[in-house]
Amino acid sequence: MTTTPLPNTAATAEPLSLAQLRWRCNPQQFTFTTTNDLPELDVLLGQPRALSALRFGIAIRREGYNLYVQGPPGIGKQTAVLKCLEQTATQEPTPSDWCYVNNFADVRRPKAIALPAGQGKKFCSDLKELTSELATAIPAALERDEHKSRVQQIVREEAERQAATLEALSQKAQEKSVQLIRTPGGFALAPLQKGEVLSPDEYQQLSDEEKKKIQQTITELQTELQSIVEQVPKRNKGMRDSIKKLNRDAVQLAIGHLLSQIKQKYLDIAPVREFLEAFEKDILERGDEFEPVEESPLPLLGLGRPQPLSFEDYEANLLVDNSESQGAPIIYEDHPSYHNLIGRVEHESQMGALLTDFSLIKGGALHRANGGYLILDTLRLLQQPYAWEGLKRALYSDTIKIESLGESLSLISTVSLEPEPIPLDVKVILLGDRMLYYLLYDYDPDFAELFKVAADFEDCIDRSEENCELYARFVATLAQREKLRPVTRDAVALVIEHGARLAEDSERLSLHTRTLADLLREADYWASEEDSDAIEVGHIKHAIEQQRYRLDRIRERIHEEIRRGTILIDLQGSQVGQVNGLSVLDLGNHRFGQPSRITATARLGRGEVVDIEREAKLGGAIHSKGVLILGAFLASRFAADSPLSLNASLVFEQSYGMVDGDSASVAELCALLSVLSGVPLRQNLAVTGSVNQLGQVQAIGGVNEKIEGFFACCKARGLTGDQGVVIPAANVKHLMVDQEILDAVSAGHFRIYAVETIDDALSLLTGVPAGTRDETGKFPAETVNGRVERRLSEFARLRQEFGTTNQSPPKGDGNS
Amino acid sequence: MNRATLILNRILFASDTMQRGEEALHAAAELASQLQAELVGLFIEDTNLLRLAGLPFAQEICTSSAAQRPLDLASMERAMREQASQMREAVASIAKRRNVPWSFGIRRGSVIHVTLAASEDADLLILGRRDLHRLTSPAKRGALSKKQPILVVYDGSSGGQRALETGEFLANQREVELIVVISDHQADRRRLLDETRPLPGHRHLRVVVTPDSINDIKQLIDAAGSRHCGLVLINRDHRLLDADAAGQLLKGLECPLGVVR
Repeated sequence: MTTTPLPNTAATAEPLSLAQLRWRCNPQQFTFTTTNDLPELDVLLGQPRALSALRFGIAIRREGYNLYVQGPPGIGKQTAVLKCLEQTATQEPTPSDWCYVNNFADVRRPKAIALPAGQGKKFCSDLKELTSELATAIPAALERDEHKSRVQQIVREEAERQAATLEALSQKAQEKSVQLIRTPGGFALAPLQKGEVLSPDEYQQLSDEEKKKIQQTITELQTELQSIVEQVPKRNKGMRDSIKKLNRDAVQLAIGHLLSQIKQKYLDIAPVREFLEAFEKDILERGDEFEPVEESPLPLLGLGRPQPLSFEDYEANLLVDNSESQGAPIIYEDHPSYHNLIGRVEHESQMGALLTDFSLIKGGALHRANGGYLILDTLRLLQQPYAWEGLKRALYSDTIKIESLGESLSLISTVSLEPEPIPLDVKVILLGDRMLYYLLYDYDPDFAELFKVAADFEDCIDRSEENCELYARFVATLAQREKLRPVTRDAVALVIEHGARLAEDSERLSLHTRTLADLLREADYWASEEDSDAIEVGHIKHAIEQQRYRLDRIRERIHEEIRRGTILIDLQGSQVGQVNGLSVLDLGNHRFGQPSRITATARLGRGEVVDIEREAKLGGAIHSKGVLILGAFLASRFAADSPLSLNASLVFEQSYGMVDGDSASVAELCALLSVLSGVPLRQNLAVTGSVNQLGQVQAIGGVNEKIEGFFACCKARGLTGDQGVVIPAANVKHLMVDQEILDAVSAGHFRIYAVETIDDALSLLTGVPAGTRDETGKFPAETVNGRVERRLSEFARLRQEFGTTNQSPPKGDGNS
Repeated sequence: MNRATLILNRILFASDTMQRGEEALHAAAELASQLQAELVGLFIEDTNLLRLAGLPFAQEICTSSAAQRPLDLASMERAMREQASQMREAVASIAKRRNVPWSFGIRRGSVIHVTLAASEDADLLILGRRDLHRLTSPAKRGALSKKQPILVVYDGSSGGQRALETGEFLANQREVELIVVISDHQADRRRLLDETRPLPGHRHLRVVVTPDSINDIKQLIDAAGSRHCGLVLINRDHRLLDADAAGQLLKGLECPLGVVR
């Protein structure tokens, strides 16, 4: 690369004026002294479209009209949604309470009961009180001496009846010299002789006649005995039935009045009435099972020990309690996991076994929001396995069906509860960014069906005088809500200016609530450090500086390396094929600009402009597109009727990470034209902007950061007075540069130029006219374009010569 | 006799089957534990059953299935050995659990005679009910139900005194009511009533003395049954307790019978 020092030629374009570099908010336009004088802003600033969508989405009661509220995080979506909902939800009816009760016909399928709001808690309390009384009344009734005597009497009567039957048989047998004997397995009949059972020897001594007679007698008696024994199960069943009836009557007497009271109380609520009927039937059926069980002689960890029935089976599990609610519920679930949304059936571990019943059913956010509104963060929802699927299923079916993930995925098939599904009437409001909205819309067909209303939040508003007034009230509202010190008029003006800087547009103001609120909170802190009664300009400035300082470590290190010469950036002199481009490093919550050296080389070739970043897979698609545009520009301007016989290479020097965007394309084209023309480029200027095929310079992003990045480098090495930045004219409206730059510009130490075409930029950077085609269609010979054209014609001629001699273009190092 | 000292060294549990003896065994073990006495188990091989099993036509009607099944001596002896083994295991197990010394024996003969003879060597004999002619039983209870009172048959003799002391001790331990029935002629009733006052150490014991005297076994069975007693205690030398009466008592009582020497 050749270096040809050029005299410091004055730029042909005029630098931008101070007024163009930063819009100033004039505090005099405001009539208040501090924000205490301003009323709270009762409307959402700058969001008429989103508000209209919200109101529509909340009001419309049709299937699938759920809402997706989109906008960047921190814009105030949730606050806005809550505010909108609070206005309407309180006017809506309070939804029912829900509780689960035992299904006495099928305990695996607990029943859901809806009660008017506030009645659920009372119902559960009444049932608890009732069961508490039953727990005393039923065992007491069954333990009463009269009742026990009656039971004993039935048992004794039956036992005596059976004993009498056997005794009669025994007597009959005795008369025939036969004894009824109890054996290990039952009964037997034994012949007697002299009061003793006949021994085998004695039997052998009997005559055949006597033996036959004994056997005959015993056979007859055995037939009779067998008949008696056969009757036993039937008679026992009859006895048990009698005892059961006795118990039932005793329990009925004990609990009848208690049940009547509660039935009367809930006479108007049909599901409760039905439940209480089933309750009564079951408790009468199983009343005797509540008899206290005496201590087992072998109490081994409770095993084998009969447990009395629990009265908890007759209580209710209150799932949704709206006793304290007024109007429709508004629920924000910040951990929208599948079970937190749909609910779950919990289990208790007993002796290693997992047991459950209706009392272990736990409701989810959908239960709590039923009849109202459920607000969810979309990203969190999608991050939870199967939560999105579960939510969609509930919305499609209009019911909440509690089932474990294992069951719903058919991974496990153990016996568990299948609670009766609860009808669902809820409006779901998803909060998320735009990217998620478009992804869901494109890739999930259910999304469009279920979330028909999109409320799109604006990032910025126009900087009109009226909006500045509203913005001041917006600042006042934030300060009042956060209980901050009042903000002075001048400080408010600075906050509004900062709003324009955040919007990266001097004609617009950012609506990013969280960022502004953070700034005010931090300014309030700095005000407190100074015992100031109000937040003043200095506190706002200090807060902005401190925010930047806290995050500025990486920028400082990079600029330090530029200052020390580790990263090669020339800030003086001129160089052929070398230019200072500007890039922005985005670190999420902080971004800054830095100069990058861009170099170009050119040689005879076949019309290719090689993007080394792309070849090394360090360039993004947009950057590659920008470089391809350069080739097209060169071809259209300089080789319209001859082959573009050039091989050029472009590189971001000392760049070791990904490069993307086309904001360096003006710089790259300047470097390329410099190397082709041999005219050196000024190194005291940095340039940014994208260029199209026609040579028009187009707007880029991060213009303020880029200017500030280059200024910082110049300042670090010492401002020479001729340094500056070339930006697209289309970016002038975006300028909101730091006060420090304004001071330097004011003092004539720094300049910012705006260009509309590549020729404007070339003229500035070279100090040589770019040149326009004359009447002969040629660029003047000494202009930059004329030199480029001549060089490319030379390449074309050389290429043609190589072509006719059938030779390949010479290979070289690319340096011209 | 000094009522303050109650020493029972051997408590005998005797039965011809474990099927109906479990309740009595638990009662015996509990008493042995509370009195720090030795638990003696005795299985009686009923000679009547063995004779019957030796007869060629012997049949058994099963209570569980009402089916007839032939009996033979070998299988009967095997069944008895099995039952004896079960009883031995049950005695050993419960004695170990309650941490009391124990022994076990098998004798052959008439159940009542062997039992009463064996009771001569023990301070207290516990017998299970012999529901010979019963096909239906009330629900099985625990050892000694916590709520069921203890009934003592008191006749004023030294044996009766020991039965009373035993009853007082057990009722006090279990915090149940002690029911005393007087079984003697009218003239001595006042003296007997005085003697049944609870010991000073058993101040909280509730003693109920029945107004009527017990003069035969049937009255005793009725008294125990009507009061849902958990244990009936009687002295070995009580005039009511001959072999026939013991048999009747075991047939009629709903609870275990304790015979105090």
